[in-house]
Amino acid sequence: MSDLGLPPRVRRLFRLPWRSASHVVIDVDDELRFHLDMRAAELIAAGMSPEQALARARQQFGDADDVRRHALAVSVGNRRRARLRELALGLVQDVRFAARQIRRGPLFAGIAVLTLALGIGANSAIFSVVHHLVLAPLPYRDGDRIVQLMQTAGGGNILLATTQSQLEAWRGRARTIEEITTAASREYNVGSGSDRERLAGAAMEPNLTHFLGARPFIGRGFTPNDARPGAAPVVMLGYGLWQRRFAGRADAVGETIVADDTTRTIVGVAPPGLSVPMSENTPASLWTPLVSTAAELNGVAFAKLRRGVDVGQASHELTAIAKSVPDQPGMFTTHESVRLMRPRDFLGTEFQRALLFLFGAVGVVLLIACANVANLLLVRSWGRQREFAVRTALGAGRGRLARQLLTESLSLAVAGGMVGLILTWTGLHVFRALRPVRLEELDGVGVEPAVLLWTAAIAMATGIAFGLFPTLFSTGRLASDWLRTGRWTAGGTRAARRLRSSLVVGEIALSVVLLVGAGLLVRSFLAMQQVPLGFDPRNLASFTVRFARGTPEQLWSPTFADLLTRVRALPGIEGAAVAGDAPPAMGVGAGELQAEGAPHAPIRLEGFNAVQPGFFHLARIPLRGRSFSGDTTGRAPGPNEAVINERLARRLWPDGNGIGRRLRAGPTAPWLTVVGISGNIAAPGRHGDRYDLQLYVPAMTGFPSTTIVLRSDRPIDALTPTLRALTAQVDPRLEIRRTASSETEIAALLSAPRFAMALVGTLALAALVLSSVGLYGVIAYAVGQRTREIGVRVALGAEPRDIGRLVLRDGAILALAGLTIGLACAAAAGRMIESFLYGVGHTDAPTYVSIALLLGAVGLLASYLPARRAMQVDPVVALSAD
Amino acid sequence: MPGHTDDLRHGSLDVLVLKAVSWTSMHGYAIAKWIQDRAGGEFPVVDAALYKALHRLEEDGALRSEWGVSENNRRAKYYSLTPRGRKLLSNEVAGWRRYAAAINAVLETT
Repeated sequence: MSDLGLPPRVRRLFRLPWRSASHVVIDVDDELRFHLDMRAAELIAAGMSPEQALARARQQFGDADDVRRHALAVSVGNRRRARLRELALGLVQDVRFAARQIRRGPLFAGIAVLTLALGIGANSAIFSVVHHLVLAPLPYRDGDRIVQLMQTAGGGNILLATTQSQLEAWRGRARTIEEITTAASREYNVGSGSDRERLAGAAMEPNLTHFLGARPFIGRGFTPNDARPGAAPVVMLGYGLWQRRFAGRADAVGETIVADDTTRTIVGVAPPGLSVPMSENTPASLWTPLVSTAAELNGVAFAKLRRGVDVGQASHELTAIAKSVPDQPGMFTTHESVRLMRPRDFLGTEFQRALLFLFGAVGVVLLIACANVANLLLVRSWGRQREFAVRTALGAGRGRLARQLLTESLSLAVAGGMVGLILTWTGLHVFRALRPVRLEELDGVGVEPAVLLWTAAIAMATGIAFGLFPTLFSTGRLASDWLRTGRWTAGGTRAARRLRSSLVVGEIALSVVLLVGAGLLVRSFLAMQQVPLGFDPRNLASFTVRFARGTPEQLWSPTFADLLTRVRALPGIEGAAVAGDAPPAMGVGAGELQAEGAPHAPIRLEGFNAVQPGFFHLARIPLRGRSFSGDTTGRAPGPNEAVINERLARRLWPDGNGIGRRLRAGPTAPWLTVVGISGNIAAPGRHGDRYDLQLYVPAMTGFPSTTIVLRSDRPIDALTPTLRALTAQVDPRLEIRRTASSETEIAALLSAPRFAMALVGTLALAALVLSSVGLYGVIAYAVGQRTREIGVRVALGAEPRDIGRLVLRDGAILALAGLTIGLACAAAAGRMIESFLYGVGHTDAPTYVSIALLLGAVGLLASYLPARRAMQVDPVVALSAD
Repeated sequence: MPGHTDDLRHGSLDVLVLKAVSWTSMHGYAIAKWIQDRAGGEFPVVDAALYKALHRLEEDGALRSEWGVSENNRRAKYYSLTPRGRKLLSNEVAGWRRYAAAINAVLETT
């Protein structure tokens, strides 16, 4: 059957990929009209007039409108199915063809997939961290409106406790907040005897579960009666502890459990994952009611902002209310403001900026990977010009070829994405293992569904992005040139060659930016390590002991003195002393220093420590003058003496000679006589000079807990069992809370910059390798294309070294261009990382020179290998080849 | 009982349409004529019902259609049997024969 009798070429001209809706209507009408006309013609032949015949035909046909409606519905459905079928078939065909192409060049495919996997994997790993720490919704109802209330003084350095009367005032008068509650992280000794374990828990006000939008899993929460002083002790188990200790039995409610030597009745079980909305979201194993007295609030206040209220408005109102409440006697009175912190603010803006910086860095690596794969595909597509030309001649349009090329690049990207996901998973394991000591939040990072979606999205986006280059440059003029001339253009068009070179220059420039960033971080880290500590951390350690609640106050001081004496008598102990903080730690001082008779304005105190007389000798901190005159047991109240560091002495008295002079920490504080001037001690890390101006006062032991600093030739971990036994002998109510060595503390302080350096360094190294491979690829391909020309040059008398120089020059031009652009970009972008640096500026000349030399060497090597091949070209072989 | 006869016709139309195009492709009018001629006037085909059957069978994949040129040189839509239609026809014919035999057996019982 012929199709309207049109020749195939004309039919193809009018053929649409799918029948449009208007064509379907025309077809249905045509079909029905044809039938009616045929029937009418038969009736006319039988003797009817045309009008009568048509009327009879219509009558005989029946409900034509119904048929038309039915036919249209069926045709539209058929059309849709046909379209989908055609799409699916085309896709299957394209994917099969792409798979064949990949199989044909496994080395090419392997390099492309690994390159992409590196870029995508690094990207997804950092996205996992960003998603977990910044983007994912908080596990609380209206989590974005929850804030922690903190009252500050001393320019924001000092946090003040909230009083019960302030809390009541906020509850009654604040209009910017909807609800307010209090809670506190706690640790509990659960069980007794050998069954005893130390668990993280929390104390909470009864309304906390409602505040967080949670409900007890079974049983009940706390009632106001449970939180009254003297109420029967009750507990709500965390879900995990209930599963572990009570095998998830519903009848555990009503039973008892011992926590902190108190038998408590279990009233309920918390829902899985319930935690206090603070920085660390570790689910609590145990919940107790928060008992506050009229004077003292034992927890931290949390508020839920009303909808539409911002943090600034609420802070303003809550500060005004807090200031209007009369202070408790003896409380610190110079509070400045109520600061509102969202749970994620605890990560710090600096950390969030570091994450963004890292995100940018992995984005750069991904860009380089894409540029490399685009380059590879460009080269390969030029080798396929014959195939494209033949397919064009057989009727494939440019769009069809483009679709095929895009399918190929997407197939590579999908494979790269899958391998990248494995790299992400592995990378996150390494990430967690190497994470900075104080960044426990990273432990929860994993490959979540959002990460899978992200990986899929960037795999598709990169597939399209790098697939576009060969599509644009290979499916148009090149193929038609081949058809016209019968031969293909060596190396593609000039524009395409320029594009390839630009891609490589871009890759080199981007890797220079990353390398400079990594170099600056390395220099910064080295500078941190070289900061003079001002004390000797070797063999220096500390432990903190605390009395169980309820131990009489009069026992505290003599017991600690007894413990100190026994510690000093232990074998291998060189010395021990009580101190508020063990170096390199130092407290943040309260108040402002005023020197007696000094004309200048008061100076804000930066570092503060309360220590026993032997502390300076023990820590090997140089001291001019003398230490305190109090007894070494710390039993007696300290004299009104002070030791200050050199820097503070020079700030207070320009001649630096403060010994015998007096100062005080606030207008009502007692005067202290300076008896000694100590060396400056520093905490290594970016904030090493944070405690620049340091003040030491004599330590007292009238507190339920104290820290003892000691120097021993045995590591603190090995010493801890002995210390525990000794502590138990002195008083069974004493408990060691924390042990640490100064060297470990220093390592912990350096772990964050080391981690950042390692991460950016790894990314920079990956970028360098990728861009070197890109440069090598371009030069090697150019040499391959110029074999004939090189042969002619050699035949005309060119020496191999001339040929080598020619090739090296090409590579050097690209490397130099990339290096120049990269260094300029790095200098411009340097300000972004300035805040992460210590002791080195963002335009640090040695870093820039080192990176320039490193890149020059790598560029030379990447060009030398193809140059060597060019030098070995045999003119006879080159000229006889086609 | 005219109602029963109508049901019987309606139910039989699909198998007759399939049979009509089983040897060559035909347009709708030719199919109607073919059935009427073969049935000797005993099976008057309602055109509307015929076209609904054609479109339904096409949707089911039993028929395929293609535009062509008719005997009077006009554009017409031709229907032909697909492999699926051929299988369906074979099943329907067998079923129809079993059904007719069963009816006959009952009717011929003395």
